[in-house]
Amino acid sequence: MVVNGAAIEFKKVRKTYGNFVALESFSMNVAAGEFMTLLGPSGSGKTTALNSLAGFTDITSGDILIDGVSIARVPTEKRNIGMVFQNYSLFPHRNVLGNVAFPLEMRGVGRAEIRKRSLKALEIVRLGGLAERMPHELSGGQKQRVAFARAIVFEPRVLLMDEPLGALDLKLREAMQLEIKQYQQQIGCTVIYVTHDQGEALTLSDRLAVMDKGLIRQLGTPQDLYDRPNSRFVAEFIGLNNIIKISGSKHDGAIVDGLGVIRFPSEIQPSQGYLSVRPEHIRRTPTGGHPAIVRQAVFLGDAVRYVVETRNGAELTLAEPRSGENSSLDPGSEIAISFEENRLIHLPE
Amino acid sequence: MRAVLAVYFTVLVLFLILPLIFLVPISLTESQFLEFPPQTLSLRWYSAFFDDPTWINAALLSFRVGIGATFISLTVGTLAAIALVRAEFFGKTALTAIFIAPLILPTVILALALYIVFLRFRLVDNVLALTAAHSVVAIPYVVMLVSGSLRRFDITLERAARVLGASPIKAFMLVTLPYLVPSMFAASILAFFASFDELIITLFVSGGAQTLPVRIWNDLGLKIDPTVPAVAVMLTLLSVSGMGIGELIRRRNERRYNTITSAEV
Ligand SMILES: Nc1ncnc2c1ncn2[C@@H]1O[C@H](COP(=O)(O)OP(=O)(O)O)[C@@H](O)[C@H]1O
Ligand SMILES: [Mg+2]
Repeated sequence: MVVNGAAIEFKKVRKTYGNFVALESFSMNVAAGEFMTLLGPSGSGKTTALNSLAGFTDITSGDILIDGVSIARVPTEKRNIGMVFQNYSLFPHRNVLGNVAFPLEMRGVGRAEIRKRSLKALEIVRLGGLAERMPHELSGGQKQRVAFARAIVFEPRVLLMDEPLGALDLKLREAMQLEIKQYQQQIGCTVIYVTHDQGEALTLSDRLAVMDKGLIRQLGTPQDLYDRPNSRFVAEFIGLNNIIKISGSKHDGAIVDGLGVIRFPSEIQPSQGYLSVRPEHIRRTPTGGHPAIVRQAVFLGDAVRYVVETRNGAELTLAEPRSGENSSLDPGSEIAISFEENRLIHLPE
Repeated sequence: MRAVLAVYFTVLVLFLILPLIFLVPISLTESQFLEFPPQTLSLRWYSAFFDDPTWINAALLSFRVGIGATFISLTVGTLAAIALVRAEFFGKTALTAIFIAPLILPTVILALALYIVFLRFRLVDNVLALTAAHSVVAIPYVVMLVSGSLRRFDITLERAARVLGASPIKAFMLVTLPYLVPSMFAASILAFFASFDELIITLFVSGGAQTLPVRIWNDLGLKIDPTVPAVAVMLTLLSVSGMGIGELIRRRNERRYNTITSAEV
């Protein structure tokens, strides 16, 4: 079961409910076979974007194209899109096989063929033995797999998933993430995946779009977004981050609250906005650096996370791998810290 | 406090079912008259019912009208419920009220209104018209049960069907309708009995045709023999088993649909 994914293009899509803007100039190109994630807090418009592609929501303006063809006038059932919903949405009165067979039945596939292909799809999700079960007799993870099998059985070139793992517990969620990624690579379809879980987004995606209030704040690969967030919103949403206000600049650096003059790796030193630095890019240093007091130490297994306060009142979080030569610190210890200079990010807003 | 509650409920329950309980021994008497407690037990009055063609005809008429009224009210009521829940149109609230009204309106008034209409259009003593009149009383049950069920229905199921390739009508027939069937079944049981034990409207518009309740009513005026309690006991058994089956089906459905959202959340 290998298909060629379809390319998807959102062109300045806008959706309003009365005065409320749910989606604003939403533009995005998803390449064929790409795994694209929409990441954002609840209410940011992720589902609206997905639903307008699926055809559940009529967009106010803009256009959506699949392989260069506008789907504005194509009814939902003709769009040939596979979809997995957060609450599985299995048909309760049909057994597992009946659920998976549904899309094929709707497409007028022959009886024997339906059975063969449905069982094949169930095998892909390793549920071959449960074909006769009713949905209410399945565990959450199994339901999720059936929903996935049902969404791919007709070999759609586009697969949409709206928080498909939201209802599962953490451990199962992590296991399922790997499986989803594996299936997608195996099948080759284009995926648009919705989640509010940044860890999930980083794990799964080829690229991801961070959304807020109906807008795409930043779109890029997981590395792009982790290493070079373009705004405070993205920097805070993805991973742990230290974000400190910049209150001015001198000829050799920016003036950062509680830290003094900091030199950014760029040509021109910023005079406003924020400094952003990841906890793993702050080090303890034996000489020089910024004097600070340890306020809190959190043991994380492979690392220790310290919350420290500089002499001038900046609070920073730093993470230190336990494999290093440093001994662990107790709250109250006085240390000095320095930054990996080329990892300092300037956030304009 | 608990003791007070216990006493309260015992009294209440007895008050509700005691008359019914009395009917059972009375119907089983050997005597000509209503007596309690009966001297000797027999099924004499039960067989009297089956031997008397006027009783049998009354029962058959009641079944015919009841089944007809169930069919009409189920069709009309379900379609109305779909429109009331799914469509957006002007006067929706008013229309909802109108569909429920026969349940609240005093039956005598409804009966009088229907009688006037029936007179005008020469429909008195017409079984089909009687069936239609009974549907009016039965429709509110269907509208209430089916629209309640439709409101609880998770619309994403229908969306799932759509995106997986079903046209709007197919999605409704294949996904939404199976969900509604149990409530439609429960509604049809209520509708059937709303018609089956309807007396007042029937007295007004039937023009002398005897349904079972009318037959019982007429009997009371003349003589009272224990056939009436025997009929009453049979009717009670019939209603109780009908309601029981409806409830079983409803529960089975509940189990299926509840587990979708609540199992592992
Ligand atoms: N049918 C609707 N009517 C009014 N507002 C809606 C409707 N559907 C969604 N919204 C609003 O649009 C915003 C975006 O919703 P949604 O796309 O579901 O967000 P997300 O999936 O990111 O949580 C929310 O604030 C929501 O309240
Ligand atoms: Mg959502």
